[in-house]
Amino acid sequence: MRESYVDLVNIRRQVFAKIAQIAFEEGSLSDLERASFEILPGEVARYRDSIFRERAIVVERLRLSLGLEVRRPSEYHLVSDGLSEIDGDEARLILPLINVITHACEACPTKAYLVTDNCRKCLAHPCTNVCPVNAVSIEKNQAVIDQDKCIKCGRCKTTCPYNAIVLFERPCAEACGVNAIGSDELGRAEIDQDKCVACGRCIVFCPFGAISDKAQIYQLIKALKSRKNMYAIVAPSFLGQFGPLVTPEQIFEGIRQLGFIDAVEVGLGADLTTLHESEEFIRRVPEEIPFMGTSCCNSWTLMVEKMFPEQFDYISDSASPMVYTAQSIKAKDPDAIITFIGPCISKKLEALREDVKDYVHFVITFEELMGMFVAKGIELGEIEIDQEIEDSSSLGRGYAVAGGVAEAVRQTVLALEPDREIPIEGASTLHDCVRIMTLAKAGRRDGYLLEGMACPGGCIAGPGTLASVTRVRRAINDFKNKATHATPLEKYR
Amino acid sequence: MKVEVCVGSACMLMGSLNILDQVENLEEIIAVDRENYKDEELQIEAIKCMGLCKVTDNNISPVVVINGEPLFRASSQEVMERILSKMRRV
Repeated sequence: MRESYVDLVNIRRQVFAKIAQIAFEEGSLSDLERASFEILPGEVARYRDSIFRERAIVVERLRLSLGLEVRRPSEYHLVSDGLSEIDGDEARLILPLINVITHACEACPTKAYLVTDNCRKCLAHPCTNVCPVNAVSIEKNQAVIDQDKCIKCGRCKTTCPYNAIVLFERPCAEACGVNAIGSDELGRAEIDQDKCVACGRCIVFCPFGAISDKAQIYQLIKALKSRKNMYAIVAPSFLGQFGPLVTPEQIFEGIRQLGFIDAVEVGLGADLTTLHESEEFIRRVPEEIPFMGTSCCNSWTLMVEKMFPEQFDYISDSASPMVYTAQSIKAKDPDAIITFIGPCISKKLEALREDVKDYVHFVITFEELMGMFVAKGIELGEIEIDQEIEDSSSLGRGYAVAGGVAEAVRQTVLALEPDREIPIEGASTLHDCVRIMTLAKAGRRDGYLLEGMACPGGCIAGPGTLASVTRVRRAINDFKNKATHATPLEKYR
Repeated sequence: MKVEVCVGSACMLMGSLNILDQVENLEEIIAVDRENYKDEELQIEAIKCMGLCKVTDNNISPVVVINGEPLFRASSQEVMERILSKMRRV
């Protein structure tokens, strides 16, 4: 999450904690409006024109966190509409996952070059001289750009000696790597669900918090109360997320105290993904497929499926670490109900897939988990536990950081076939993922292993995280060094 | 000067990790402008929940303690201003 968006992040997390509290305390869902008063007390608006609108938006967030559909202000709806459908102990994800809360969207203007007060109306006025479409003119006080003529080449911005011209972009659209943000009739953001790959960047970047995904914490807590066979599988980026004074073992024990019978590192599945992808790379590249893409980031694979359907076969057939980890639990306990806890929103979609839905039943983020800890009054730092975590090799623990997946596969391929060449290119933004796939499609990455990740820096920068990337990266390194096994090959042979 | 940032559950939820990050980054600001700051060392510590939030109904998170003086509902800019105003040479 963007830590500097403090007030916004706090509102979102309070919503998670509130929903978790209602679920733990068996509170009534019909009282969501009261919850909005508890989160935003008083009668003075903080950020918007009125407290009523601020609370209406919080109510919408509460509904989304329950998994309900976002309501449009133009249609008559009760706050409680749809509650009976989602009240229960099973995850029900009503698509779409990523939603614009229309009355929270401030309809930011779309991309444009604008002249600021820095303009000195100078004699040289290079801005007009470099414009290829004669869109810049010098008016009474400063230069003016005719937006109807402007083709957004950016030359005026580059040439201005006063840095007086800026590129204005909607943060949501700028963050989107697949161009899925359009506008509705009132100029508010609208998501093209056919293009969206649920990476969650727009949620992270909207400064008005107008975009949100849906959560399953309410149903998960109900299941934790009604069922005994609940397992948590925890993504490798969990390190450091819950503060510098908390050990990985305390986090796992805290998760158990929520009602899970056990918690397992997803690094366990990462090791299996490494072994599968290594074997597949050796077998298929270059005879069957010209290059191979990694398979663990769901937004990356969705992007390839939607934008490069002919190359989709070049993405590894391996299941993701989440799925392998869940399968290994299912092999021991066929009745297991499995919750993936991670930094990722896209996994909520992956869990709906035909081949995944029987293994992964709930997906929540670290932020949502934090809301559960707070609602249950769990202080992770106070927990006493001497049980070690040893589900994963050091390489499996490295999956959370960009480059970690390819590195694990490269080391494994080289251990199996020392003479093999394995050129690697990684992309760790969705924009960059599209770029390397475009090059690969054009035949310029033949023989490569392409590591695609939608979040900048890898999963550690996922939309559902709490701690800064630097903090988490440091904690992951420490945890990698503690692994009993260095590599998956060492672990399994 | 000692700055303690609570990283207990309630404070974490309300963004205390961000305050900790911001305060830690002050060391860079001070380092590049050394002569304008006193020689006093800036000690930054993450601390466990002191339990204050559990004995009040008011929302007091995040809690930051500066030289022994607790600050409730702390914001990073308020905390940083206090630190720098005490550390800067006038």
